[in-house]
Amino acid sequence: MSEVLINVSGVSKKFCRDSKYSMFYGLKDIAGSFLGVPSDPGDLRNGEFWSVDDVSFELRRGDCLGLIGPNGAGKSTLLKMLNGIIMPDKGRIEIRGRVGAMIEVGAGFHPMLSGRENIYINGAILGFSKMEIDAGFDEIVEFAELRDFIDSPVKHYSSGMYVRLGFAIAAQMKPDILLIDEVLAVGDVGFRAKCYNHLAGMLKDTAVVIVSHSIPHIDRYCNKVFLLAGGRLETNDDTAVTIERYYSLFDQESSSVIAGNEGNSLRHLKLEGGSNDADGTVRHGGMLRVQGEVFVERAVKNPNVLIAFLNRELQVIAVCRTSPGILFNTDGLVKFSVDISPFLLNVGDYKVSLIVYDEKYQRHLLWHNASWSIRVIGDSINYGGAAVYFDGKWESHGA
Amino acid sequence: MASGKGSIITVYEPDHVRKAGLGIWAEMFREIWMARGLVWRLMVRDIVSRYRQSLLGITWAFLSPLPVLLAFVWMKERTVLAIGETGMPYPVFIFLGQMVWLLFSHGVTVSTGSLVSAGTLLTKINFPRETLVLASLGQAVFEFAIRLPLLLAVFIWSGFLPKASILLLPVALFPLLFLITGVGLILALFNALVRDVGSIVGMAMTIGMFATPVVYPPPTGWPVSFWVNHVNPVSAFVTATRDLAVSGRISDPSGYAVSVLISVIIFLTGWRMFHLAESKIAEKV
Repeated sequence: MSEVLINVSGVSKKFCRDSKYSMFYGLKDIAGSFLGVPSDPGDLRNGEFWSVDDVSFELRRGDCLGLIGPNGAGKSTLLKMLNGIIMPDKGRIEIRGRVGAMIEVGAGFHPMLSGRENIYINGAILGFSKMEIDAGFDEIVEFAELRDFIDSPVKHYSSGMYVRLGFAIAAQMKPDILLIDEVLAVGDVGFRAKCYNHLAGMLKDTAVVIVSHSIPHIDRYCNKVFLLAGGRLETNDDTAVTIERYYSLFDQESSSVIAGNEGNSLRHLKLEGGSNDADGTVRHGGMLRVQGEVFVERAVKNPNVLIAFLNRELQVIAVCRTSPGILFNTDGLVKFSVDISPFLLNVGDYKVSLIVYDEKYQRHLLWHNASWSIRVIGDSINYGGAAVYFDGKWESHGA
Repeated sequence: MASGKGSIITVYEPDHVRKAGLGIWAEMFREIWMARGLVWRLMVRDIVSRYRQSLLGITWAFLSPLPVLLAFVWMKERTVLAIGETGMPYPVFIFLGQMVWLLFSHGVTVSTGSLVSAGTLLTKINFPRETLVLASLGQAVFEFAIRLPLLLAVFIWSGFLPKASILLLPVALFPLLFLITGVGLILALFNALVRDVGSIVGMAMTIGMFATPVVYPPPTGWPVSFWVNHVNPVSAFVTATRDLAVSGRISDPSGYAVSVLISVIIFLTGWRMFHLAESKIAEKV
């Protein structure tokens, strides 16, 4: 096993909700440290809460840890503690080796100065000597793809260009530990891919911690995934379990009725898989039957129905819809059913949306978004988070 | 600060800074020494960015002492103000005083704001925070240097020939930098916590100029003389500067020595306080 680079044991950090209290506590704490009065961090004072609560883990060279969780769960706070920007109130963090961090890209860029000048300043802030920066300068500019703009003031840069320059500088550090906080999202697709590939390349010498809401990226690049919710860390050796836990935090919020009124409403909808499986469960390659009854305004004689399947990122990945004229409106009630077979969705959890349109697919009469769940089961494993699994016929054509 | 290669282990835990005891001074010194390149970069950054998008640019450094200079010269000529014997042409007297006072007040003002104005640099990147305060000295020293030719012009305009000992000015004023840095470190820290400090400093510097013998000679009547000449540590530097120009001999060596000592003590105290609180700055700023 490779060496442990990060060892976090029992780390907690508290913050104060109220800025006046916070100012007062700050003065008190700092006065305490001047006088040598040991602080008593164990208790919460008025208005304080644990932003990070008793977190422990260790990370080895070669590990890539994805830190996920809802907003305000303490992810960035934990990252800042790993970087030594803020100190834990309880517990201990041991860091072995040189740390590179991108908590915020463009932090420390001076808007009036050129990209070139900022490379040198930012490099110095990150702990490089002038010689090291000289040596890496061309590579940085190359990686950032900013050759034509390197002598313009960075205030004229776009936010994507900021990210490019910031990541390029940090990428040249060759640190033992790299901390990244949701910064790559701003770059365009090409640059993002370049960054993640670069990260993958660094992994053999580096331990990486990424905070991100981009779960597909986390899923693909991280060998460990921890969920931080309400300051507490949830870990599981199986990253898929942690990711599923993360998504389940948002089940309530993701479901919504986007369109609908008194004349257009849902009576009921049923999703059935094979006869032996539990409700809402369907076998990969088998059949899914959707049965529904909706109330539709009488003026729409032949409404249309669309069933959409969403992945856990709530992106539509598959649809099935009626051809115009198939469904009839009987005194305001429309009954329908559809068999989808073979059901090609990969093993995993999905959300289902129902949309009812007018005759020409022009107007939404009713739209229940991500309101049902189905689970696809089967023998294949869900590889790489792909939505569809083709049961291809493989043959060997050896010599 | 997490830096260095390979097996260097950095530990973050509550009250880590205090645990190191006396060896902390060596660590503090080493930290600054390691960051000297960064201090230089930040100095250059501040100076360059300050003048880049400005029409008059560096000329502002010349212009800033002129209003006070001209106003007081005029008031003295018209005998609006009764200012005692200065021992040299009044413009020279007042300009030498201003050189020293502006170095101090500008240095303190800029360093007080240095943490707050660092913004995301402070909250998102780990590096020795002292460098921000030290770098803000650069601006004050730079403008001081820019004003030297203007000083020469004032000499010529007044027909005053200073003693060659005026060349020792940088040496005599060097301990003042300790005073500025010490005060700056403490004020920057408290300004990060409570923004009122910045406003207070602005006001204090206006008052301070009149509590220092900048536009008038050192007072002789008790108790004003005690407060202005002895309690105010900047006064000795102002007087010493004029002594170098006129006689080449420091008129109150013990007063000067005490001021130097106080400057060093304030510097060490400020540095230590800053270092103790450093780890709490990022979350409180």
